[in-house]
Amino acid sequence: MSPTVQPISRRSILKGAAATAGVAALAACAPDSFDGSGIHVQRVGRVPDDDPNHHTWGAAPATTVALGPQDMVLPQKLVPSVTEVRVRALHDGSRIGFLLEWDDADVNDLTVRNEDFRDACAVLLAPGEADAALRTMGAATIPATLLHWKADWQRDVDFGRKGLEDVYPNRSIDVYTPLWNVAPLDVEIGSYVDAGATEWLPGLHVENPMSAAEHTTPVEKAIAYGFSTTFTAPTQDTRGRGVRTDKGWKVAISKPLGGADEGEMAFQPGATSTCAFAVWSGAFHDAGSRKAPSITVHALNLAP
Amino acid sequence: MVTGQQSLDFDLSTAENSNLITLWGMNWIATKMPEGHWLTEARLHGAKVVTIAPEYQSTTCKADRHVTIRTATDSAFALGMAQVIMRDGTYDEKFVKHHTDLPLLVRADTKALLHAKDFIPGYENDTLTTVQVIEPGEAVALAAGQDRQIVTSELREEWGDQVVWNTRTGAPAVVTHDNTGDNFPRNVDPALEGEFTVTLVDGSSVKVRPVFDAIKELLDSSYTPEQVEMVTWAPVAAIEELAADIAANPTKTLFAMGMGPNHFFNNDNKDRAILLLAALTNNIGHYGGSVGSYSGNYRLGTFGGITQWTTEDPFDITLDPEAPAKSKKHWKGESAHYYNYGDRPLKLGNKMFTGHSHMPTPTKTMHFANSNSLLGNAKGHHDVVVNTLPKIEMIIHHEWYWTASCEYADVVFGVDAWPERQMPDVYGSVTNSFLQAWVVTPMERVFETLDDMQVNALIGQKFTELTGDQRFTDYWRFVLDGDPSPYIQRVFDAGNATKGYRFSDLHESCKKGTPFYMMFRTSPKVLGWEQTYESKPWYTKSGRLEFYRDEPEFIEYGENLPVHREAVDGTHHEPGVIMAAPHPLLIPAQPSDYDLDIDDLSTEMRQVRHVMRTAEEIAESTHPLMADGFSHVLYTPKYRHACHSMGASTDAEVLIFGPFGDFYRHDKRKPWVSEGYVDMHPDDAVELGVQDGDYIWVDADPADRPFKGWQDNPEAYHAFRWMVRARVNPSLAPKVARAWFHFHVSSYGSVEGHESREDGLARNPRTDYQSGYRYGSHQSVTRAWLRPTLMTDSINRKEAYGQKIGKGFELDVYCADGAPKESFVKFTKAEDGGEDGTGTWHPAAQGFRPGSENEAMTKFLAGGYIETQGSSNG
Amino acid sequence: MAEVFNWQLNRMMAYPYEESRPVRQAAAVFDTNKCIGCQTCTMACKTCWTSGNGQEYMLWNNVETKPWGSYPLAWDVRELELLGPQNWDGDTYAGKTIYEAAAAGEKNIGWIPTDMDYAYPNRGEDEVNVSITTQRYHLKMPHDMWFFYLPRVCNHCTYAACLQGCPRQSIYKRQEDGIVLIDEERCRGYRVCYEACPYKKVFYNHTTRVSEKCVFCFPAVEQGIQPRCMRNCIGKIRSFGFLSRPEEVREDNPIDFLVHVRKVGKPLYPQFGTEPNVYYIPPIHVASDDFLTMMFGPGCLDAIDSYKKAMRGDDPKLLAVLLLAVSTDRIIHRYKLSGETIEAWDENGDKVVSMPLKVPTLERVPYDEDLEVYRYNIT
Repeated sequence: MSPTVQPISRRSILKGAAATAGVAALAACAPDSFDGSGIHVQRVGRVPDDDPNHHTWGAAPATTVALGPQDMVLPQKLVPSVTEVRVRALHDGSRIGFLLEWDDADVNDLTVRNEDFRDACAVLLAPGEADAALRTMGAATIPATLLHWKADWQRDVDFGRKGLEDVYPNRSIDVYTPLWNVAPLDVEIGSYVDAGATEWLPGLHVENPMSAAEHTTPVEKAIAYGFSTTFTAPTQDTRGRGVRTDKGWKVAISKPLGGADEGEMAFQPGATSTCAFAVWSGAFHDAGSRKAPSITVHALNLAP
Repeated sequence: MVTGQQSLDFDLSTAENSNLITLWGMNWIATKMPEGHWLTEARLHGAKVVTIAPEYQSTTCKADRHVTIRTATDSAFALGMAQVIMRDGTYDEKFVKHHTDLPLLVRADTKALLHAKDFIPGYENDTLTTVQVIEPGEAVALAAGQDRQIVTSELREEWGDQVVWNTRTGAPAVVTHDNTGDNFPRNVDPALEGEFTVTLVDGSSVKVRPVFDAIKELLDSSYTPEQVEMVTWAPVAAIEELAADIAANPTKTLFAMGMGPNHFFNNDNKDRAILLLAALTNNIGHYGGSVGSYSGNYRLGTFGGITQWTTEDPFDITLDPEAPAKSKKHWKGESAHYYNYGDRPLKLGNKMFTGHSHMPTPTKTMHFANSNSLLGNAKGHHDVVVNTLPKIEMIIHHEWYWTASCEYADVVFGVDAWPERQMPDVYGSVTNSFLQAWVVTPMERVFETLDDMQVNALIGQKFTELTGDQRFTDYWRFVLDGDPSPYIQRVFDAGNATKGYRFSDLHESCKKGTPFYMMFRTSPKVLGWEQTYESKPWYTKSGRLEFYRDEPEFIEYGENLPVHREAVDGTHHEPGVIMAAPHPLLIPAQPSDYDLDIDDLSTEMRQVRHVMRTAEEIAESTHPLMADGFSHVLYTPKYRHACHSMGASTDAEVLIFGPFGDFYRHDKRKPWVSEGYVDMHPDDAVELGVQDGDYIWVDADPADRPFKGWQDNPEAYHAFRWMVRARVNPSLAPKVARAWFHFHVSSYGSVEGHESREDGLARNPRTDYQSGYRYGSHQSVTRAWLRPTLMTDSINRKEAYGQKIGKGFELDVYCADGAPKESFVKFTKAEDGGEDGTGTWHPAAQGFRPGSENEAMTKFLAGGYIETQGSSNG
Repeated sequence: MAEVFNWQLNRMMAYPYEESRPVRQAAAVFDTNKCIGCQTCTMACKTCWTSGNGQEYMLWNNVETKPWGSYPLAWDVRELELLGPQNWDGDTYAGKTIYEAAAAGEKNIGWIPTDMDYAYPNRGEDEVNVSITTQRYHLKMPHDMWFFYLPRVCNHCTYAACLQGCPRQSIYKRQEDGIVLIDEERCRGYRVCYEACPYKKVFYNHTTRVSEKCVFCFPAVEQGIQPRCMRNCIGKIRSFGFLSRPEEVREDNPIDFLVHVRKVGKPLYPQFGTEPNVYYIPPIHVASDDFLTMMFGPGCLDAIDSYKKAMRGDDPKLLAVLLLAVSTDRIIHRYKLSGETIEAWDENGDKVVSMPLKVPTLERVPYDEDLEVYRYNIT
């Protein structure tokens, strides 16, 4: 009566999909978009990744990186929300840091409501000398490392993780099962952790980084093998901080020069590699592939 | 009033045996949800469904025919169809002659039924075989052992024997209480029409005529389809066609009422009229063909042996769990509606309208359990709070969450919610066939509560402590010992439908989810089945379905014949009047007879103002308040999202109750995560300058609402004048408005709450009582009324339990009732509906609400987003 | 883009992934003529799956009154407006699907509701399409003035818009039963799925900041038990089971019978092109053929005729299968009508239903001598 069922592995679906998407994307990508302009990574005593306004950043030359449409993978973002980002880079022999500065009039640092989308920026790091192929979030054989700063995580770090209380102070709930003994308005994501009842919040239960009860850094380290394959790196050793300027955001990001995780980009002082940048504007509902990526990849030249 | 029985009912499952199911206001799929599938499945089996209401109601979307009638005109609508059926001669002559009083003769002089002793010298009332005649005070068997009706010799004599005109002999013939159905005398063929002369024992002669003839004259003169359309709004075609359908479906037409928008002051007239329609067409007592007046699970009589529990002699308590209790009633019932009416009887002018058997005693203490309708959601609740409660010394209430009743109680006992009950219990229903045990829950109590029964038992125990009298404790012995099953078993053993069952077996079975069948005579249970199929008498004097009421009170009040009376308050026309052209048998007492002014149309007077008007006169008349801008009949029926008078009580429940649910309370004015509302027709809203979602003030007759004396009590008036959300609803007929009955009313504390709390919740800062309104409630526009015909000492009726027939007051059977859901109101815009307090409510502003539809919505309504070409093979 | 066959449109259509139908598809048929709008399904789901912090507004299962009801606000009106007027050629869809109508750079058309759009979930309850007027005081079939209840869950579409929309491949369709799930570990809360789903049945969790959706109670389904919303349907409108692949239809499978044999179960807005797997028996009382065709496709008028045929007593088998709904918690795989009795078996071949089409009436003796009790109806 019952047909035999052959469960298939989630991974296999993903690999297959990644491959297809990757191929399509490479085709869509211009053959040589490398314009030679590189990012010079100045060596300093310490990368001030905790202070975007620290004078040390001034030691690095600012490169204005043009941002363009994301027209390689669907859904696309044909009109970039942000058109340029000013980049500075430093290393201190143990960490490499970036300072990204861009204009965005609206602050979007909430992801509570359905209509809330975050401001964010990311640095893509990959081997090769500005290998254009790698603009596709790495490739099946060459992983890319992504340092992703999120305005909502920054808010969590600065003010503690809040949710509904930020947007709906007048909400009313009888009770949150199974937290019978907590006043409903005092219930927050941490309450489920404390009560050992995380299964009531699936994202939290499976330890999705988006759902983490608290964030110690606003920057996520992720690794990708092409479009649609990005995953959070096992070791989260990035640091950073973003602050508002008069015109927009100024964000410091850093990671160790070495690579703690499989596929993670490791740097040698004096060596050249590939980097790219992207900015998301919540005001324009940017998220995921809807972003403003740098038009080209850039050479990343570390000072000895 | 027709059957001598509390009222008729049938298990709703018998819908599948029916051809035609007529729903008189009863919103079946919304107020009997568990039985909803019987209705839709009856249609699958071929039955046709008809809804009759002042709205396109929930159930209308399952109906084959719908008739919109004006609120509380069901009686006129039914009598209009009766007129058509009598006119066309499509009634069932045999049923009418054998089972109803329509052939019985009425005297033109006294307006009373002709009795054998009136014209047969020395006549001795017949010895009845269908009735056990007992001497006053003589003991009777428990219900389970009663083999026939029981009546005292006194009452039997009072009944006398009635008379018909035998067309075979051209002379009067006696028909007794025994002579119903097949027991009707073979040699008698009673006349239904005509006028005859009978010579009385004193030699004088009197004109007599059959009840049928008297009713026909009334209907032909006052209830033609054209006249009925004027009053009910029902098109003539609807009256003619539905009457024809019903007549074409004898034994297979169901009439269901109750819980509907027609729960008005005069609604017993509706029941009499519908029963007449059903009797004319032989639609009483059949599977799939009968009358059901379902209005809550009111009938404790389902458990005929209940007296074992309610009347055990407290001075002679039986502690042997296997032995039956010794019954001796030491308490007297009283209708709660007197307390609701300011704790007084109905006395107006020179007349006391409340009969001796009904007379209430002043209320000193109230002790009730989970019955929010008694106080928290009582009709005229705010008047009770302001004017009646101060006169009551103590109120004790059992509840599992904080209701408005708790707000005003002196003592509140926190008891188990239903799923928490750790004592077994038992229940049945008037509308399904099942006997069900309340299974002892395996669930732990959330709070430190007790079972209702335990509270009472512990109070008894305390009395023992105070008085040293052990009987206070012994009266609750099995409860205190932890297992009340013996009490339940005693009830089973004494009851007609339960004897033979062991409660322990039922409990085990219900644990697995399987109830037992109630052992009624038939399944499905159809009240009247024995009367119709086995010629058992009804519980009336004549043993017949009685449509003529010859008790002096009914003659005095102009209701000796079945009539329509305009609503006492909820009508656009002259309130309370009797719809009838002059009729020789309808000569009611006039206000002047009570030393009252006939032009006095004030609310109190309307209860006893027996003024007759023709349909034409009613249609032309207007409600006295219309001049002051009052415009809408407002009714407050029950709905699907909450249970009876227990308001919608959880957040998720009210979230989907109506159109205003919002957990996040984008609009801080919202009293809770949802709120009550008043539905009104889009055109009415435009006329009133009210937009969908606006807040409005709703005022009823300033003479007594929101409460008597509001003019001198600004604090209470501030709290209890009703402010509510307006909802534009195309399903409601123009000029009628609706507010569901289940939202929690405002209390002083809930008002203080939204006026002082940061979050604006209408929640009492001290008790956490949560109101469904900011100010007042749907009960701000209702009030208590007392109906003279429900307070006589002369009506005969079966007692609540068993087969004994008595007369006058009987709790839950014949007493002041009604909980009328009616009022005539004025709407005034209070605030904009926009979430920020100004402008239009979001969905309307977006163009997706009736009356404010945008282009896309208009196209959608027309199905304009698809075109088809060619033919479809599906 | 691949070319796949959508049998509901009776044509090939563009979809990002190759056609890969599950072995069998978990599916349901809802009889709108039996739905009483009680929302018991809504509560059954709410109390089971979405009572957590951040899920307050979520109703994976909701019941809305058509035409005015919608959750979120005007979800279908807005989608139809984006799609623009389309047309059918007989039973072949001649218009554009949400994929074919996609703008440059997009995979599909779509829109993003706000929290405010999710407020007032039962707005429109019991509201008729046009205002009642004296001309409409007497209605007969079909009704000139009407509403009907539309219970909704995720349609676990064959060509799911949410699945194809996700740039992270976080959504997958199980090969063993076709249930569409979000990988809660992988989702980033981009809400592309929720923008893409034309039925708006993907939800964003305010607290975990990732998306969630109806899981068809797969833990129960894996044990042969129906989803909670189906088991708790007191209106007895819901038939749940497995729909066979079009070429493997079994007449003794209730779902196949209703959808493929009698064709009374119709997809909701088939023109969207997702091949939804919750099917609806269209309401028989609605006078607007245009509205019904817009909502259930051109076959819906024939479906109504077939349903009426059963009501007339001319199709006992269809009557029996309709009465079978919600008669057991087990998932029915096979049924058989023998005379006036319908029987049904679960996946293990155990008989789970044996039911007369009508409850037999029963008269008891007026006096039971053994028990010494008189039986009455009026007690």
